[in-house]
Amino acid sequence: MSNFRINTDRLLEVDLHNEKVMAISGAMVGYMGTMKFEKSLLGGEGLFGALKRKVTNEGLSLMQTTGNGTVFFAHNAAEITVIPLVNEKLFIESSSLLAYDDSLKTNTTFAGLRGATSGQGLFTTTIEGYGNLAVFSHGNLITLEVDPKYPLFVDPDAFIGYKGNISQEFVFDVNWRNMIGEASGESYQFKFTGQGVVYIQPAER
Amino acid sequence: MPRYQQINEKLMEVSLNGEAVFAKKGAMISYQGNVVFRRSFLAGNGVQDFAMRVLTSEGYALMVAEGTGTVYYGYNGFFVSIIQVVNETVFVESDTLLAFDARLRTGTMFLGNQGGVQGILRGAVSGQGLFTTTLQGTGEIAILSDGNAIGLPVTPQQPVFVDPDAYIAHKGELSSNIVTDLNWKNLIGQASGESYQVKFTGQGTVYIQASER
Repeated sequence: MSNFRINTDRLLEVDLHNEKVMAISGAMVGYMGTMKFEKSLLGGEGLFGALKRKVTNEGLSLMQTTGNGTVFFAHNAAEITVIPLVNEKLFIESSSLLAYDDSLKTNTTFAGLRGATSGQGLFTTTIEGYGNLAVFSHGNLITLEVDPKYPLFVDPDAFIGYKGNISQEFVFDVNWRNMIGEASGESYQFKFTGQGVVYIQPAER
Repeated sequence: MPRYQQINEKLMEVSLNGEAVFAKKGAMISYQGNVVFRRSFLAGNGVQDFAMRVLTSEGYALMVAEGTGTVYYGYNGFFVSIIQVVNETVFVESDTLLAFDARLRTGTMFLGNQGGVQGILRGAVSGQGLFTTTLQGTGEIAILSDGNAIGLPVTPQQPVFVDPDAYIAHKGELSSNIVTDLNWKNLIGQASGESYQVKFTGQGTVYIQASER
């Protein structure tokens, strides 16, 4: 497993010893040592996985970095957080994924009808296994615990991802004021129930 | 001697005791004391240097603050970093330069002088133009960056490779050249987005920002 470090919130440092790390195309800002960058044609998901991404529009333009040394990744001065996965599965918006260990497996799953109104599409990316991944967020990533007793409600525009044994629903909060055009701006939310954590950012898309 | 001090990631102050400090036009946020601001045309460097800047479009709109007191600088929410210069030369893009003073001698350098054809190529591919601003001597400068600026040390044993779009400045005895990383996937239009980099060798520091232009 390669070592992921955060340098001053907005720069990710990854040490590689003849290992491979996947990152979104173009995110490398510098490196020391010998590194090779290659477009990852299938994203490690095989021909079927790549095809599924094309069809579902949950597109990920990835490159693979191999070599010996330290590589630096950054993206649009966004804040970066490292999430270690220990044989877990993380659901994440593909647009928030920055980099991940080659040991992790990605896939596309149906996210339910929620995507249609939130503009995030009907599909979401899952990533599972044992290794590190880095996500970027607009503002610092916030981790909220979900507990069977306390379901969590999240604005879809601030949502980034979740992990654990959680089920996700779409809830509406519509009343007569919406009918006369006086919406509160918070008419629908994601509701998470179960046990796990939800990641959000302090900004709305 | 003007004193540069970082207040937070995006704000700095310069304390003046009768000296002058040059800064990007419009970057003053507030000041205390007896300080006057003027537009600076020659930036303390004479007519020839000014003419050179006009010709090379490495021109910067500068103002000079002079007096006794404290001036606060910030610009468009960009991150501010103070770089210590100790008897060496800093190369910086003029639009990332926030503040400097007369302790350092400024100049404009043709990238070809520094790295030959490779230098010219670097300017051309990175869209940073063929000329860069140099500051020489001992003192401090303040630079702007989109996201934190990070200084990567370069030693003769450890060259540093940077993305031209994230490069902001470098100092020391460094030479740069372009390296390419092409393979068959580039030919079928599947580039990794990292097909060329700037390699810095020698002894010094390279500054990059956490964002790509």
